[in-house]
Amino acid sequence: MNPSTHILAAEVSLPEWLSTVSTGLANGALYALLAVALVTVYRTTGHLNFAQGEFAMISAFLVFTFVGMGMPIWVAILVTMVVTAAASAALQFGVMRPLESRGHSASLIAVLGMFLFANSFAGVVWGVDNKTPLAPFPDGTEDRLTIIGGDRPFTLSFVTLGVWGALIALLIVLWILLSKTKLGVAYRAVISNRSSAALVGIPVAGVFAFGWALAAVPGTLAGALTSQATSTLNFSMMINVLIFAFTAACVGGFDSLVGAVVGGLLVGVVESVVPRLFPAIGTGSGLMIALVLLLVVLVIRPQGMFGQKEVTRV
Amino acid sequence: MTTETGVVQRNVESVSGRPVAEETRSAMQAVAARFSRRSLYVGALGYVAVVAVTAVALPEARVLQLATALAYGLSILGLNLVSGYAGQISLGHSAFFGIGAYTSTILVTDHGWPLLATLPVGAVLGFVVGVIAGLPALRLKGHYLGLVTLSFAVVFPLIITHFPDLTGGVNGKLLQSAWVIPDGAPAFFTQTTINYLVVAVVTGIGLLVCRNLVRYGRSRTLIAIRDNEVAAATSGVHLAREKTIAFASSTAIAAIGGSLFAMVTGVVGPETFGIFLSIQLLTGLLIGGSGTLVGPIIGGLVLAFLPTLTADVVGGTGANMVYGALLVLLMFFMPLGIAGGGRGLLRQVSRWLEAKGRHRSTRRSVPRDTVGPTSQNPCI
Repeated sequence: MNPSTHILAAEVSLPEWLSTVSTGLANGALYALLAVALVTVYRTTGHLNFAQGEFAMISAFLVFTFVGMGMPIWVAILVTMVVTAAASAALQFGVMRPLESRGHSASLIAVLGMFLFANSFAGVVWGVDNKTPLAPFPDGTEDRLTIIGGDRPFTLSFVTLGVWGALIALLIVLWILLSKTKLGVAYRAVISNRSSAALVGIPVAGVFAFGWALAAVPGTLAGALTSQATSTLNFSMMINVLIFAFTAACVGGFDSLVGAVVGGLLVGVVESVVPRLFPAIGTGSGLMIALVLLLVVLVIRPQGMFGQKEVTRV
Repeated sequence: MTTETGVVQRNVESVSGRPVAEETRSAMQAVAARFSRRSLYVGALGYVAVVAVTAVALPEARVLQLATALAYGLSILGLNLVSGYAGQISLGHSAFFGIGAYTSTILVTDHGWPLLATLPVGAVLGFVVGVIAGLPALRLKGHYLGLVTLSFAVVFPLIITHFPDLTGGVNGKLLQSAWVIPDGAPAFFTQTTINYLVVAVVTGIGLLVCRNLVRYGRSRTLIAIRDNEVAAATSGVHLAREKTIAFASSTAIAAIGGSLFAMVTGVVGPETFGIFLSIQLLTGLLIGGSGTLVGPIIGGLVLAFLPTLTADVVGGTGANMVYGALLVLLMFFMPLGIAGGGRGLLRQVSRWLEAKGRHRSTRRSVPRDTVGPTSQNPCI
């Protein structure tokens, strides 16, 4: 993030660097939102939910439909959160839980089935062409906050600020929910030790469903905000974001919420700064950078920055 | 067929509590019976007969579909080595399928190579890239491997579009190759038919190679890895090496399948070889029956014919919906696929009827942590 001066020299000014980094942080916040959803599921039931991105995409379409029915957009987002949370809980309860006894491969396959189904479902229901993107935040050309004025200005769009705000708000809500409420304590108890939690009378199955439902909240936010930030609303909008989010979760450590957020922001910044530093890479190579980052992290430190090392017994 | 039924019965009994030694012996007999010379001859003759009859009797459009099915089938056969036998779920095989397809297309169209000569090149490339990709990826377990291979599948189309001069970019590239048809050949002997026969021969060889790999090769090591990685490592299995070899052989076979696919369809495009193809290949494997030799071929047939069936019901894009639903349903009702589990379904239904009203736990005797066959349920 602190590039050596000879690369900076004359050609790229400070405001440009600031805007590169802030673009990275804005994208990173989107990755972080989806990564939080992935980590929430992983911590609860140990599944990597490959379908999380597609769930978020369906959420974005649901918001679109509710707005079309005349709801204000934030009300539509809240309603969608409730609907998708219920649907996720039902999937955990009806599909994932019965498959638990068949082991990890079976649940992985089931999740892939959901991925394929959700993607194709959206194509069939809402069509394969791009719809009008969602606009939770004002996004006119004038809706910007000027940080540095002058002839080389540095401004932040309200969308960028809104994405950051949404991420911070989500983290505060999650923190209150998980540390201050009885439900949150039960959730953490189940994560820390399933059988002990069951022994003291916590309904583990219910908590599992709660974990999946909880993931729908950041998932819906990720879908709606990605739609605005990338000006897309179609059935394949979340596939790349999913890869970035997975990379983020890996970098941060799959069992850490803080890790997901830090990882997401880091991946976003790396993705936008590296092509600036090495113009030879060219634009549009973000995914490849993410893949390299993913491989490096997995080989050097598979548990991620904040994760705990797994110990396996035979 | 008779031996197979015998095997099934022995296994059912062995599950219900025979002495261990006897169980092991019967499992070994089962393996031996499955791989007997007679089953080889019967299988090979059947394969040749079916291919010959379909090539002559079916209309050209169907022959084309069958050729596609066998090309898919060969790739799924490759995927089967790593996902079926070694239990490592790979979501990256579309990339290797694509590597084969693009290698053949570029060599034939731009450099005038004969098509058959490009198959080994694609296979070697698939193997080398498989080793390079597999080394870091296979040090990881289960989910993480899926994650990394998923990224391969997503990145591959991007790499293809990144080099438009070589690959034709987003527009794709035509594979221009035509067989010389001798004068006086019968009417059914068209380009499509020759393509079909070539695919059938190569896939047949692939079947033989996989059969021998499974019979004489490392299949026990691979199955040990699948059933319990840590236990296998403790017993002296070099996990990283075995998995990498399995993965690279698997990607080499997938690449040959890709070359054949390009030959049959005559055109390649980056979006053909994305993440959805990977999941479809995996679906094909599981529908057909993972850890079996017949399963991948059945899976290839499903992949080639299902979209035409679903097009009428849910529209052109709906095939993936059906695949998705099938994947989930299979995990519930037929985790061993058509080849491995038509009988499993029957067994489950009868057990369910038996256990109705009894305690829940008596129903759960399906092997844990596997989607393929286990040692109690050896591979065909």
